Amino acid sequence: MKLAYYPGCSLESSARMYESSLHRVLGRLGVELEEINDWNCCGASSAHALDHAVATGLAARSLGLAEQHSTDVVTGCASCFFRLRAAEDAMRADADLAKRVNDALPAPYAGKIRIRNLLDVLVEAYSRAPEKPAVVRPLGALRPVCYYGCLFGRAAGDQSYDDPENPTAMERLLKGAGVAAIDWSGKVECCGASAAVVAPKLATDLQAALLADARARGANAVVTACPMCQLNLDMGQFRKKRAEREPAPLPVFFVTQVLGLAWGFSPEEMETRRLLASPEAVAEVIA
Amino acid sequence: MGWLRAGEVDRALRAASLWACVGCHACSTRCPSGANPAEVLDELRLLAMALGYAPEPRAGTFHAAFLKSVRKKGRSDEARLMMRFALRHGLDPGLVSKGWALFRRGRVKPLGKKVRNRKSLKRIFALAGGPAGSEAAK
Repeated sequence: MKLAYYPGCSLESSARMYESSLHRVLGRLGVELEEINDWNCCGASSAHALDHAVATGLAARSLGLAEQHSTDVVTGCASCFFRLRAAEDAMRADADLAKRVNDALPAPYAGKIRIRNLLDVLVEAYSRAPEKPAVVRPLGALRPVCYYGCLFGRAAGDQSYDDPENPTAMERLLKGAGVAAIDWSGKVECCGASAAVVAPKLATDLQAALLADARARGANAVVTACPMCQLNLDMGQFRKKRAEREPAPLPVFFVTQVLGLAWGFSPEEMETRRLLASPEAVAEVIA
Repeated sequence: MGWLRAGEVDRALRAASLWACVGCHACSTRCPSGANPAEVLDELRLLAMALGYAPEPRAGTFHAAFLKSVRKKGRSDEARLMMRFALRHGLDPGLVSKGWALFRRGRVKPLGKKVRNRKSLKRIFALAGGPAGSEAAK
C-alpha cells in the first residue's frame, strides 16, 4: 500500500516520537508513505473559530497537494484528520465555496482521494500483511487502557473504519501484539484540548477523571493515537514534586510505540525517553 | 442554545461559554435529534466577532496567536504560541517546568519549519470575509 502522508505540526515537535514510530511500524507492514510536498497547518481549532473560508482553505491546500500524489492520504493526528475531512465536506456541500477556495490554492482539490486516519490504515495493513510481525518482546507487564479522544470517530464522511462511540482499533492491534488492553468508559472522552492553556482548571478536571477511571480498572499505562491527547495527559501528570498521596503518573504511549516495541524495535528506536513519565515508570511496564 | 431560542441573542453572543467550547463534537455526534450544536457554536462565534463582540480574552489570545504562526509560516508553533499567550495573560509556574521538561526531551522545536510557498497562504487568508475575517488576516 502506498499513501500520501500528512504529518501535521505536532508530529514535528511535541509528538516527534509518534512521527518516527509510525514510519517504522507502517514500514514493517509494507506501507509506503510519501510526505506531501510543502504541506501546511490544517488550521486546527483556531481557524474555524474565526473564519469558515480560511479554515476550509488551509486544510484544502494540503489536500490539493496530496491529490498530486494520486494516492489516498493518511494522517496520524486526530485533529488534522477531522479538519481535512471537514474541509472536504464543506467543499462538497458548497460549490461556490469550493471554487473560491480552489482559486486560492497552488493545487486545486478535486476530492478524488480518500482521507484516512492512521488507525484505519494500521488495521487494514495489519490484516492484509501476508506475514504478521512476530512478537519479539512480550509486553506482559503492560496493562493499558486505549484512549482515542474526541476527533478520530467524529469526522465527516465515511465512518465505517470503527465504531465512533466504542472504537476498538487499538485494542485489536494491541491484541495482535500480545497486549491485552483493559476496557473502560473513557475511550472517547475529551482531554481538554486547547483548554489546557485557555482554561487549565477545566482541562485538569477532565484529565483527572480520565486517569482516575483508568487506575480504578487496574491500568498501568495509557495508549493513544492522538498527539493532543498524548501531550495533555503526559504534561498534565508532570510535577516537579508530587504530593505524598498523589499516585505515580501513568506513562502515556503512542500506539505505534507499543506496537514497535512488541515487534522488536528498541526503546531507543521508539523514543520512549521523550515521554514525561519517569524512565523507571516506563521501564516497569515495557519490561 | 436556550438563550437563542428565547430570543436573547445579545446574551448568547456575550456568553463566555461560547468560547469555552474546545470543539470535541461530542454534542453533534450524540444529539438524538440530529442537531449540530458544534457548528451552531462555530457560527455564533463568527457572528459575535462580525457584530463586534470581543471574544473571551484568553480564548481570543490563543486563537489569534495560533493563527499568527499559521499565517506567517504555514505551520503552527507550540512554543511561540505559549510565549505569546504568556506575554498577555502571564503563565502559571507549573507550566514553565512542564515546558522545560518537554524541551529537555527534544519535544520543542525552537525554529519551526516553514511552508515554502507562503504566497499561497496569503491568498487563503484573503478569503476571509467580514470583520472576523479581517481580524484573522491581521
